[in-house]
Amino acid sequence: MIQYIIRRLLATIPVLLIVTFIVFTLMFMAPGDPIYLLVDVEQTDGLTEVQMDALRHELGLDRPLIVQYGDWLWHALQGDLGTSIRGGRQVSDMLKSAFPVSMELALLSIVFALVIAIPIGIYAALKPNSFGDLLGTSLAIGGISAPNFWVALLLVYLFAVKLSLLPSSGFVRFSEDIPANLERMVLPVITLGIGLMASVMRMTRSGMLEVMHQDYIRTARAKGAKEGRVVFKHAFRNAMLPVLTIIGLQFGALLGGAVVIEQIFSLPGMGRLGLDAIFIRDFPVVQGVVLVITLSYLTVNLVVDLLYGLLDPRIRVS
Amino acid sequence: MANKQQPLLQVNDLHTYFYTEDGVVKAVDGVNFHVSRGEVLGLVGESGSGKSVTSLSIMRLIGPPGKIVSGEILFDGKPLQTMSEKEMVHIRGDAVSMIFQQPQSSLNPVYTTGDQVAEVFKLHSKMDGAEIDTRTTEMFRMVGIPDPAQKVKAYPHEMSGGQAQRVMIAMGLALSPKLLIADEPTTALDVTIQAQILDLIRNLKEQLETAVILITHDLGVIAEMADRVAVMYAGQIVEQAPVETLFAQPKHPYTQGLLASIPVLGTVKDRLDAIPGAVPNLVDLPPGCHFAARCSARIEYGLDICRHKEPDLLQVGANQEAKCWLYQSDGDHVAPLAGVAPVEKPKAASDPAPVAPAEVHAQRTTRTTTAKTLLDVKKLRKYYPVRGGVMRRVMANVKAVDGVSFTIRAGETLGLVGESGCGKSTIGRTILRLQEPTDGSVQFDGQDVFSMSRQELKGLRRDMQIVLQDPYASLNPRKQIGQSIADGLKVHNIGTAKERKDIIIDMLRKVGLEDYHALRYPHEFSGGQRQRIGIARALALNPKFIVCDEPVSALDVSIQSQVLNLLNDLQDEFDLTYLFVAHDLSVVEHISDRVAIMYLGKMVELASRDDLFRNPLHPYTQSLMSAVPIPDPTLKKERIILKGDVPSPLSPPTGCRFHTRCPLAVDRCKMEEPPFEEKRPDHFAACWEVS
Repeated sequence: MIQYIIRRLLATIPVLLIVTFIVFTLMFMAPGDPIYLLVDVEQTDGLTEVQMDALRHELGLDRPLIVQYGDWLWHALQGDLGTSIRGGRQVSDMLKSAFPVSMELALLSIVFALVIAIPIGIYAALKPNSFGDLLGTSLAIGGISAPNFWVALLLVYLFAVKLSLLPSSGFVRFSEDIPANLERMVLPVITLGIGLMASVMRMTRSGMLEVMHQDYIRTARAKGAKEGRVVFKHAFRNAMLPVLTIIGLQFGALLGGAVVIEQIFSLPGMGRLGLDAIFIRDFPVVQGVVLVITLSYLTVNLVVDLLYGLLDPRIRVS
Repeated sequence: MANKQQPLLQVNDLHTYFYTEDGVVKAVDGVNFHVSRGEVLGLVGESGSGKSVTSLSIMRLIGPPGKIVSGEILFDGKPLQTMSEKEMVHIRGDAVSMIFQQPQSSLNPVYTTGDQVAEVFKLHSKMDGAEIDTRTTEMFRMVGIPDPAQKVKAYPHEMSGGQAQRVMIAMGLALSPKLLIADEPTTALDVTIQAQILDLIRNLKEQLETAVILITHDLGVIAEMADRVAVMYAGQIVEQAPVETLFAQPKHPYTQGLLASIPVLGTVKDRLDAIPGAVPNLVDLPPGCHFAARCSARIEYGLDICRHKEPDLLQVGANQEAKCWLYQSDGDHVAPLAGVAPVEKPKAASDPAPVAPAEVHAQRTTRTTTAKTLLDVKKLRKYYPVRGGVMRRVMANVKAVDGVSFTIRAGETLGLVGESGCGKSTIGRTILRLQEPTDGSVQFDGQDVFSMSRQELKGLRRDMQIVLQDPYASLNPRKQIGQSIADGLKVHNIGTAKERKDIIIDMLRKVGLEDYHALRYPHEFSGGQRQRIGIARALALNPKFIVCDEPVSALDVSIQSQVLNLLNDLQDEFDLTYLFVAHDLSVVEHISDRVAIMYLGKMVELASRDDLFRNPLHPYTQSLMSAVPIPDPTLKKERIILKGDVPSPLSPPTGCRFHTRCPLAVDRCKMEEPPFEEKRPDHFAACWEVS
């Protein structure tokens, strides 16, 4: 078990190296010199080439790509992710403040998706092709198809503008005021969670449908288990395995979706931090954001695989 | 109180239909039978005969689109068919319980086996946790699971098939039910494990006074276990009789055909009497007798009525009933139809030949032993590495085949027998280099197969073909079967398109199919037809040698004989050499000239068929043969029941690999591996205790 975790952790190293290197290269090749974005246009006009070169040199931007990457890597390994080109703040501090926001958004979205999707999925599987199943299926397909920025605007219009039930945007830290924080999280969470909800619903439905035809379900019935017990004790745990996989895989999409959602609802999370940094070619910040997102994606998938073993003894690693 | 006179279970005119998109499948179509207290009723039939649906109907476990349409199921005098689900829940698992064919998939993979047995007590008794634990462990002990206190914590995947079936039996018998329904309980198990499980069911049934409905397609199992037998065909019971009567004087042409079509261990016939055709589609059955289309008696006696009117199940002898127009009722007197001669009992059942006398064997001569050697296998090894640890190093090897040598002479059939995991299929595939060998050599027709380049190998593949076990999985579902057969020809650039077409049609005819079948897709064929297609595909390249890897084990009994006869005919016509891999000793005895027995990656015995079956030397061969149920209830065999399971090929026992289960094992067997040597002329065995 421990050995398995160690092996999985070791396997993340090359992934992290490759991802950060690719992002580094892309940023390097992208048009636009961070110097121009760093200083105002009028000021740049005033700067001589020499002065600009000096600034580049000072920031280390004139060195070869591989040297810059090596330099970044070396410092990153020591926990130093550098400073933001604009503002000079420690990148790690910026991440520390943005990460919890995104995590809260992502985790609440998962919870929201599961709470809604699993009961509907089970119902749909037990009564396939019933009215409820068709309704659930339409909802799921609608959820997958609707672009989330559109859903967001719709929700804001309905709940904030028309009904005035919820604030349309703004942010309060979880650590400061929990009710106010949650109130402001409702709409972003629904928006972000809807896509995951749809896929979890479909997965629960097909998983349950398949499991309900397994031999061991017939055995459970033959030994006199009531239908409720058959469904929730014997079938459910087996049907949750593919759902778990979906959550792991969709976590990436969730983080991607968060970029848009955080913009719309002005949440100071990783997505917004990263997007802003890309606009001004703030290399160290972009690198930091990518690193953290990759790490959390890998971690979530490791946790999913470990949970898998917990649910299904056959996959338990010796 | 239930009347002791009335039968425990009485099923009257039961109809269970499935409402599918293709139409109404009349899976059970008017079935009548009873089970008395403590008796074993054998329910025998091929796939689609309705035997499983009958049993699930009794349990009221038919789900949509199926439905019990009409009929009466009286259990202990109570009508089950009208009971509410709430009432049924208390009967299932308590008074009536059931065990199934695939023990491992019938157990829930995410709970321990102990928990699953304990659940029965939880559901039907008021015992407390501690008491349930004790009873569960007790049940594990009762069904003969070693180290029960530990094994209750094991998950299904940590158990062998035999152990899993023991757990199922523990679950089924936990509350001493009045009726146990066993649906093909040993079909998925190896023959030595089957013997253990049948023995267990027999003992426990005596001990608990449980009646049993034993559902199986295996007439040998029926003969050994049942008190009374009901034969099912296409949703109906066609004959019902006490077991001795049924095997001695079968009255229905289907029963007679079935008994004549199975190879019987110890009895060798030139040809099996196959029943023509296949089990009919249960949607839109034509009027008349369901068996009419395949019935030879109907033609023989020129009966016309069979095609128009369904016969009744009539009393045709003491306790014997048959549903056939050959027998007519005249008021309360039943007699064979005028002009119908008493039907002769088939040979298979009339020759009580366990391990047969010489003259029976002599009926079919084995092929010449002077022919030249076509295939020479020397010290073949095939290991599968098991990786582990952080660096994924090779931690151990599964020694699937571990040093096996044998030869096959041109024109003969070598039967390769053993239980699952013994390496028999691996040998077949490694010889063809479908898998790369670990070590050893194979000479085919003088050429060294293992040193060949890809290009040379391609040429060789024309001469060496394979017929696979699963006729459903081995044909590409998106290709017309003509294309599937043509593939091999194209790869080898044989003929023009026109010539290839001729070859395909020729091959289809040879295997008993029609020209127009070439344009059809695999799903349009039955299992038996698909296996014929598989044979046609192998044959199209005009090979010298064919590996037949369990070619009939997925087929119904009556279809099995058709395919075996076909393989025999083709061998004579095309001068083929077969390596026939199978687990069924009776089938191997029927088709082979020489037979090799495998155990855990080693060959333990090799001899001509007659020598091997008449005078088996190795204790494993002997126990294997004694474990095969013979379809003759009058035969009381001296059975050697092997203890335990086959050990893991990952860490096979030291010395002789069979010593852990061998009744003859002495100390030397644990230390030293016995050499595979010629104990009698042309009779090889690996055993210290055989001189």
